[in-house]
Amino acid sequence: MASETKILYVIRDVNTLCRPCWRYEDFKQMNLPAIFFVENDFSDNDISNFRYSFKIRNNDQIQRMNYEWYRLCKLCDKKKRGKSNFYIFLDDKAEIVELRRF
Amino acid sequence: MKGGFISVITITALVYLGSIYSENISKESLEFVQILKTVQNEIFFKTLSGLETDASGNLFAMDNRMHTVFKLDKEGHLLKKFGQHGQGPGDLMYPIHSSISQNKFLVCDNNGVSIFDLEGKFLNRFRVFTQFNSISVLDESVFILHPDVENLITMYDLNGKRISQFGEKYKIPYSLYQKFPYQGTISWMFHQGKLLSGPGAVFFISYLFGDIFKFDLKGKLLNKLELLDVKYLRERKKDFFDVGWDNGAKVGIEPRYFIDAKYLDGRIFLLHPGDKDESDIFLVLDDKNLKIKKIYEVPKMAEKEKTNRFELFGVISVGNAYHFFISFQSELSGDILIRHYKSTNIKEVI
Repeated sequence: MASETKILYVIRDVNTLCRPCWRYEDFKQMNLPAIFFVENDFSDNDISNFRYSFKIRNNDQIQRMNYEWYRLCKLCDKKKRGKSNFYIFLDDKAEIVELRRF
Repeated sequence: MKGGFISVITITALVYLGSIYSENISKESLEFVQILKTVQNEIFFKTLSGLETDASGNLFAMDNRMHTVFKLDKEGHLLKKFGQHGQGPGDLMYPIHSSISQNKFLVCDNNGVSIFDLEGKFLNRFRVFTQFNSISVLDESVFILHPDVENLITMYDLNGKRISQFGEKYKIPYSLYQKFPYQGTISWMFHQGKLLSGPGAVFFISYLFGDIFKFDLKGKLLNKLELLDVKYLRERKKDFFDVGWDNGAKVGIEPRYFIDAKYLDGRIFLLHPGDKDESDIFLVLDDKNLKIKKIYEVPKMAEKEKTNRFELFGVISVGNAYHFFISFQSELSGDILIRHYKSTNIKEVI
């Protein structure tokens, strides 16, 4: 993984705790920046609770998903399970290298 | 909030109340009134995960698998239903805990905490991202028991802003924590229970150990009741906290000593389940000193059709009597029904 690669950690559903997946701790250990995308109806308190519950670093962003990110999530969710979560690898030109579902 | 579909199977505690009987506490058998006419009104519950009553005596029965709350009158007629499967405002997704105040009905589900008025109008929703064992609402404050955070109780406002945390959790012995076969659930199991709130106080009732804690709204522990007279609970605590896994503690998914609790007019009502040969018991506690004031015995069902699954209750006071609404699943028909009982005289308690 190139050092310029960013990991975008997309949260579409809060029901993530049971899933065998890369945990945020793994991202932190690799010292990679992460951006969390959440549903766009999250209130400020929701985002604050989200940051608190998952112990998200202060320098990691939490953003409400816009249309473009919804489109990407839809690409990931080909089987239309609807509940899955995704992380996305981007290169330094912000081109998608890989989409992976967990 | 993990767990997705959470089946609400209640494990019956086949234990005795021990010397609580032998103390000088008045005991009364409740009078059976009727089975609510839900089935006649074509309401077929799939599960019941919450049963609340409002001050007018209406019932709010929450179905986990139908993602719906049914508002019923005392006879079991449908007044309103709200919620449907989904993630939008007002939608519910496997609702599992509920709480009611004078004008609000709160639901915990996989989306977070949804707030409705008593007519079922959606008001607000906030998310907490942590598993919860119980919820209670008091005026503008919401108390949630998260098994996975440091403190026992987290206090939020109605918009989901975290206000404070308080209460000491049970200290899970290291040997149990390490070797318990269902490690991810051990904190959940230790802290199964119910949060209740009354004027100026929050109560935690431990379903597993039978303890009752009383906190003020700043989080100070005001009082604690341990049912140490009950041999079964003493032995359970010894196994859980003293013996340790390596020395042969017999610890598994334990039956609950209490299966539901409610607060009404300065009284705490605790439901202790009986098996088929025993009656269910209500303990009634004074909220000020946590003393047991009264024991109500629920008459055994004559037709032997009862199972303890989905057993929850709501309580109201009408005139001089307490009225209890207890849900159960009929062993004969499989239907989930609600029985109505009443006490003869409320004044004996006060």
